[in-house]
Amino acid sequence: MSAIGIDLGTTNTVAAERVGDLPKIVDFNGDRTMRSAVAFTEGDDEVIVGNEAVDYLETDPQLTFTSVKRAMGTDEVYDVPDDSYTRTEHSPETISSLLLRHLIDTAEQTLGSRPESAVVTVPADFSEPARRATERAAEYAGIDVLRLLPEPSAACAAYGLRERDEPIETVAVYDLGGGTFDASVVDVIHEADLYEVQGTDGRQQLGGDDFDDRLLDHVAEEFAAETDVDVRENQEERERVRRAVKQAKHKLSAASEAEVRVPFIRPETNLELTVDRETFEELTADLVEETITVCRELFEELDTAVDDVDTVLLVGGASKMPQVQTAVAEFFDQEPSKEVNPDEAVAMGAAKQAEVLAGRTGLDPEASTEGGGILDVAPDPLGIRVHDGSFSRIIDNNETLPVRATRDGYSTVEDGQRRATIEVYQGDADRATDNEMIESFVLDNIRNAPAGVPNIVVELELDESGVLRPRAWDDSVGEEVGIEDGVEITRAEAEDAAEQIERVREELPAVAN
Amino acid sequence: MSEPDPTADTAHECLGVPSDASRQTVKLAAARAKSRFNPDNYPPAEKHAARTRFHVVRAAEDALLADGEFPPERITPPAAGTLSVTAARDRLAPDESVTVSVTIDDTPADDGVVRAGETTAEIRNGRATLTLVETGEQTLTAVVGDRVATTTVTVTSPTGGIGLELGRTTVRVGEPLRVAVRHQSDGRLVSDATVTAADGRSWPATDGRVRVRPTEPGHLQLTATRDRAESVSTSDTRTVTVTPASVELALSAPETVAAGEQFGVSVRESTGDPAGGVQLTVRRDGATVTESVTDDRGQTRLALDHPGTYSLRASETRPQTEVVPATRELTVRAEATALAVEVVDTPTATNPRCRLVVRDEWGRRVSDATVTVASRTTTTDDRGRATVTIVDGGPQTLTVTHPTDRRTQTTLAVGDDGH
Repeated sequence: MSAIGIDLGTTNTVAAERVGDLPKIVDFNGDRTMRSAVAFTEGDDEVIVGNEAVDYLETDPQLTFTSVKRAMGTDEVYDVPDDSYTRTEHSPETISSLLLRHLIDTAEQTLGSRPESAVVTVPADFSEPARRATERAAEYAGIDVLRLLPEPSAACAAYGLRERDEPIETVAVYDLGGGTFDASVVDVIHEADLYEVQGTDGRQQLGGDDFDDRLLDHVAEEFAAETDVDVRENQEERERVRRAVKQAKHKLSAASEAEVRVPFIRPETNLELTVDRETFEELTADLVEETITVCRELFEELDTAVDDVDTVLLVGGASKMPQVQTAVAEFFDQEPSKEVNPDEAVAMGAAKQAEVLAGRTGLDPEASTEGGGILDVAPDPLGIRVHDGSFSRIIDNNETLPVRATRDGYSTVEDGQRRATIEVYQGDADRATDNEMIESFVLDNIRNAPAGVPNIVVELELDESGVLRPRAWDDSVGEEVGIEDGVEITRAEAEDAAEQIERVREELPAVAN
Repeated sequence: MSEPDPTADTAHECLGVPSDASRQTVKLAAARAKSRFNPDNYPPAEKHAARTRFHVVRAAEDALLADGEFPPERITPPAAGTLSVTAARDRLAPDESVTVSVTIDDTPADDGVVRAGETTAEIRNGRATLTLVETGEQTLTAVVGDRVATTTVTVTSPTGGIGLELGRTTVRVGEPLRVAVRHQSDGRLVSDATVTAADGRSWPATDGRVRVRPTEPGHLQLTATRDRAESVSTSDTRTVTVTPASVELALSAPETVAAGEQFGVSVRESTGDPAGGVQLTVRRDGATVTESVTDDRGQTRLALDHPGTYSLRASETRPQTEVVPATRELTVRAEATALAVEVVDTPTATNPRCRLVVRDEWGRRVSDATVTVASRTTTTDDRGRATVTIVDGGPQTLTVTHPTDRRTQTTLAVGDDGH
């Protein structure tokens, strides 16, 4: 029985286990990261997952899925038009569960025992549906989620505790991954062993992949000018160039120029170009600027000033680019800390937390009062839709979790109305429907009264993992509501969840590698 | 400074700080108290209670550092007193839910759990709802903090007739038919029925629902039965019409092959089963070039000698079944004569390993190519891949040869990995 930390990334996935002071990174056949890719191979009910699957991006692009994390919590469908598969329609969470399965199998081989539970990290501003989808993916993969942990908090936990003069250390985390960007401010209270997130903001669709795209476009245009061949039109050619461009990007982190070379991109035609760092920086300057804008906006929203930041942590593979490091150092007016490894910090922190949680939820009651831990914040405001369609906020963004907030004064719009549907939304917009609806339930024991008379109270609780528990009651009924009237809310949720998970598990293809 | 106390009347006492404490002292005391009541540190049954205490601590911090209210409205601190538990009804049917009220000295309890055997439910607003499956006398135990109270309820199965509900009355061979078994009295699903077909097959309808797949056309008689020791046996019979099936064929073949290269074609039915005995016709410019028939595994092998675009068509005639044919395009390219090396990851000082792919001039991966570097030799796998190690930093010459007399050379050196 062991518990691991999993950084389930858009581009790369990393897992680690911590026993005492010795962290161990799961090894994928010589690599410390696994590409977040799943390839469905024709003719059998099996898939190839991870680094091995990347080859299939080129030969079977329609059946190879990457970057599914960007679609978590949406109803995106991935078609596998091959009838040798039991399941021919996949969702972001079923694809993610295949990644997790391969990860767990590999962890068992490298760590010696099969992990049964995990702390899984998510971007700090992941929406509620995306978090639930992540939990479902883990359930399909057969691993128990101890907790979902925001990536910046995990990175902070990896950074660790030390003796300092100031009791409260303010840490800024700049996390630029393959597909997402998050900026967070975390207060580390050393003597209480507590990491308290003060606030977080980010862009769900901004990451290292966008830098690749820019370089790919540049290379493709240069090559088209020379040969009249646009490699972006053919998926196979595009994937080959993308791979070469990614390598060039990595080289440019250390060298001032890099060669992009793809042999025989077309019969008798080789793609050979040199890109210098200056050009690359010009191509991506607005992307870097966008991340700094997010940082600036975050500090405008918080009580903390940029000057109050004691330590800056760079996390995520894309933060290794020199132009990113320069921009971050300039914004914070200090050099970022070199103490964490940008690729592994999130998984390491998650592993540390997994060790703690797996130990504490044990049967020993004495262990459960030790204290400490990581406190997150609500990524976006939460509230309900009222009759005129506007959004009534109940929980503000950047509130420390768990948070429980109530708001009353809601009422009925018709005489004798006994039922009301309460729709919970998450987002910034003033119109409820411009936000994301994450829950809907019916309050069905409103007392019989004229319109506007009953006082309906709505309570929203967002727990420490970011899971929502809504409640509502008619306050004017008060103690008079007998239990014969039933519970006050009916959650519109499938009762046979366990059965559904079992069915999905059975229908998923086997992992062949 | 003393221990935090979420039951205290003032914010200062709640955080355990003196009334003249500085902001920094309040911040640190609040951090300690939040750390202490962090729900992450409690087992599932105690998380709700921990959250309630956490909320009180947050309110105290807000009251002292911002403009919050203390004690907070609508958050009931944990109270002392006698715990009592009452079920709404003491007789119920299996799978029926019952609401239990839990009070402490007539005040609704707002944390803890109610247990019945393996089932547990959290107490919210003085209530918990449980669904009981097992019949017989059941003890409900309420646990709030360290207090425990119990009550009992009796679960008995209702008697009376059952009905068979069909999703459709006409279904094709092989298609699933949804069947539900319900109590005629109130329409609830029956949890312990069995559905039997006239051909002797039977399915246990454990949750009142089953899926039946008819195997041959005609009429299928289905009977639901329920046999219980404590009640009369009941049953219901309905008939469905089964029509012949429709089968769609799916054809898989490579998109591109080399002239003269042998390649496999496989044909499957839409169910995923291999389709044997299927006629495969290969046409070019409207004229039939060759024909073949798939074997038991639905496979056949072909080789086409002339470059160009071909169409493949799989078709079959079967009694009582409509077969939808499948077609596919195939391009035959001229044979390859050149080789090239594509480097997948550049070797670095820390990781001198280099993965590479060998391709021909069509960009296709070449297997069985021999890769030689510093007099060590390896062979590409079925996806054209090979891994070599650059031992002394290079640059070194890498030679690739293939049995078909093709050959290429390139130079590799260790790069900087940027760390």
